[in-house]
Amino acid sequence: MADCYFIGIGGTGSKCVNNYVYSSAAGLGPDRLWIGMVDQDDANGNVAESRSNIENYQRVRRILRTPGLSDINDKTDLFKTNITTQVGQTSWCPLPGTAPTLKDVFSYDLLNKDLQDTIDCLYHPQEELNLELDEGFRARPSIGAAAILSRVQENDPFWVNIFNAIDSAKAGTEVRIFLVSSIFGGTGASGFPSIARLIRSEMDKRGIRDGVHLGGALMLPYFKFPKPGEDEIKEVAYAESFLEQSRGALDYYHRLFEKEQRKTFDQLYLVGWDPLIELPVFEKGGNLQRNPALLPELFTSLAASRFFMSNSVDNGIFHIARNDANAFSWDDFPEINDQQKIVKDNLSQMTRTALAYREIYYPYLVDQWRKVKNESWFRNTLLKQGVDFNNDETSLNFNNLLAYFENYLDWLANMIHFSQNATVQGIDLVDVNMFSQYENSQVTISDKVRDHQLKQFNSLISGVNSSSLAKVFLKMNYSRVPKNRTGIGAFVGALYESCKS
Amino acid sequence: MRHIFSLIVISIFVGLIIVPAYLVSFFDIGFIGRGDAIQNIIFYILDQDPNMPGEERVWNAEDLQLLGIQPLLIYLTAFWFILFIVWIIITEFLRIDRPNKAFKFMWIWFLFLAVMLALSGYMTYYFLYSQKEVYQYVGGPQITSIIFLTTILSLILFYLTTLFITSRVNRPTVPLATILMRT
Repeated sequence: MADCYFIGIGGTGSKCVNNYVYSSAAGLGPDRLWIGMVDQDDANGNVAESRSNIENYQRVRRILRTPGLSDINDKTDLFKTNITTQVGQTSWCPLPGTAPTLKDVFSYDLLNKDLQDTIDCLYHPQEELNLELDEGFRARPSIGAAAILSRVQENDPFWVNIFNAIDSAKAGTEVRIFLVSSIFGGTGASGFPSIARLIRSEMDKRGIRDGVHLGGALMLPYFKFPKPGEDEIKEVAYAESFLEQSRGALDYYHRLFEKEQRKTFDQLYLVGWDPLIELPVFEKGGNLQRNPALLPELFTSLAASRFFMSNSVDNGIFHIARNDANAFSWDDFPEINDQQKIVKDNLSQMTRTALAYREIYYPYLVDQWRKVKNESWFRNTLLKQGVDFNNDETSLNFNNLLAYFENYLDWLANMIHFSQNATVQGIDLVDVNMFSQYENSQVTISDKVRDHQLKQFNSLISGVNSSSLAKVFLKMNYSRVPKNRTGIGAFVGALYESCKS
Repeated sequence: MRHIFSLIVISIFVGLIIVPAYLVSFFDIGFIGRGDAIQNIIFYILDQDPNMPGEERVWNAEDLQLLGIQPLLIYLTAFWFILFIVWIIITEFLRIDRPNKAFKFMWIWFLFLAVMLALSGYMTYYFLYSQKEVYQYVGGPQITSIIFLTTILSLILFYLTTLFITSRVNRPTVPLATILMRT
């Protein structure tokens, strides 16, 4: 298995990172994965969410996969991917500090007159050179490209990981790097080609021709939001400009890649959505910008998994279309490396596990465990596996698991609820109404799913008549714990297997 | 597989009661009582009326053997089998879908137990004592002891069998089962 690197660039890129972490939790990722984000708007809500998701993932994975202590075993897909990041720097901000401007980047005031004039020709002196960039490049790729290329340094800890990986190719290690961003907007549109070309030039500098593969997914316009106020329109990205920007950017990429003797990307995936998904709210940036997950982003995860997990990297530019423009179902997901139903199977199993854990088992793993300590499932999958319920850490671990599963359900519910409006017949994947509500442009997870809704657990996943909660409980009681499963991992593994459709 | 195992368990436990009862009642086993099935019935089960001729006692014992004991054993076997199968079906239909729920249905176990004891006791009383073919052949103290014995055996049979045939999900419906059964 190759060393895999996933870099999300810009706001959309960080959302795709978030998406890929959840996909990896469901077992769709590679065995090992390094994740990083590049965003000028470091305080962006989406970046913060992805960062928090990665940390939570790593925490839960330690709970489930610490050999000797608690181990779900290596044959189970759940939390299979060992995700690593640059410690303390999950995301890289090209221009850190409070309200940097392009003038600061170029040390404009220190330049001689001729250079200042040149820069004035390239960038608008008032609107662009003095634009505060603490909340991103505001849909101006030209600014972003300059900032990013000027700030990537070989000794920056974030980039050291990538450059070391490139070096390791000399020793025969196969390295696969996947970039993802939007083609519209600022940071992503500028960072995507800049970083890709930077990696290629580093490879050339080191004389590496083979062993490093570069893949990428570009999000074409797939959502729109209400037009910002007149006072903000010059400062921020707005949806009406997305198509125009995308056309320009695609033309730019075409010319850029055409000229190069060696292709920058081994594989390039283009993902879009028609008609655009309408988002009800808009924030120009900062911690309030926390756009909901949307279905098209899941395709970047599948593209990354295809790129990372295939035996060999075949060159190409890939696109996909759904079967019916008015509907979306499981059949519209692509297979990953000849595993036809892997997306449906893994996401279904993860969803069922998360819901069953939250609604049925969790209360009996914390406060009420004494009531069920003699029941078969509890004895076999927990007590016999050495889980100590008198230890406070045990309860903390179960709480962490609950938090992760709740976040996953929230992510899934957001993705489906918000993506519904662009598909006439709706998104027919998971009956998210069972555990969530969509009201006033907000998705909330039910505090407690009602019993009559839980009775429909077998039809939670569309198009599959899977086992009911009673059947899941039956399987839990008769589950055999393999020898290489221990601790909490034994219980979660049993639940995961019992929730198989 | 689970249900096949349950049927095997039912057969074994019911057999452990019915087969010895049949052997004792119909075969001459040297070390049991007088070593003769009819004599055992005469001396231990029939009413000890000193005025009854010996020949009539033998006829009564034979009648009791064929018209009382034999149908009793057949009906008990059938009844117990049906009762246990119904128990399995009912508990499966409870559709227990979460922990700490099954024990709420313990009353069903007690209901089945009551039916088991009552019907087993009544069948014994009817077939061995009150039916007209063998009416009062058996003495009063003897039938009381036999009914008591049947009830005790039924109780043990019911508890042990349900202990093993009840699914792990429904085990909390059987008193103390979750403590006794360690799987």
